[in-house]
Amino acid sequence: MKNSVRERRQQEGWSQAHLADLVGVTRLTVISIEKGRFDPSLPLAFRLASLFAVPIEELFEPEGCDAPPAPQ
Amino acid sequence: MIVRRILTGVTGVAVAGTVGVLAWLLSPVAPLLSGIVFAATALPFGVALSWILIIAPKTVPESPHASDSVETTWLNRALAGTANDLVIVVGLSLAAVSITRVELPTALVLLAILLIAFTSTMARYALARGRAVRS
Repeated sequence: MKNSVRERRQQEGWSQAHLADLVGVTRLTVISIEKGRFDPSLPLAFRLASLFAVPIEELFEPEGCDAPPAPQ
Repeated sequence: MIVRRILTGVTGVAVAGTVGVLAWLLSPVAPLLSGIVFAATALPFGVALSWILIIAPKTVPESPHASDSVETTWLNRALAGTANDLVIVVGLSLAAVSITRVELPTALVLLAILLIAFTSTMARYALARGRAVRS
């Protein structure tokens, strides 16, 4: 799943460690999410979206076979 | 906290003592020596267990979102992979032992299973961590 966590974190001027503290996970978790190698749990995705004050679908974007079918 | 530390030490010694007495009562060879060796071996584990049960809850902050961390996912995947590895290794070993009729000591077999499980979990976790950290 693609996401804009890195861009939004950098806009806020936060380090990965600071973001990890804010959402209550480890720095490696933030690194893995930013690299798109770890899909966060739903509660964590909601916490991230709430922190950046954006809807969850703006922060995370499904790709490939994860993407929902286009409306008819 | 001092009381907790003392309690930790006492509990650790009690665990080691219990293991030592069991070894002394049940060991068919050199029961006294077995009891002493087993008690000495169990002491650090007894103290560590007591620390986890008595001191850690008061000193180590509990993470409310531990299950959301990527490390939990790596560990769960590593453990699932280890279960698969063990089924394969034990199955193949059983087939080999059945065909060759080799008699293996039980302690050696259990030790091998434990080492394979540790190695598999450690390797799988390290691999997952390495993949994630590599840029």
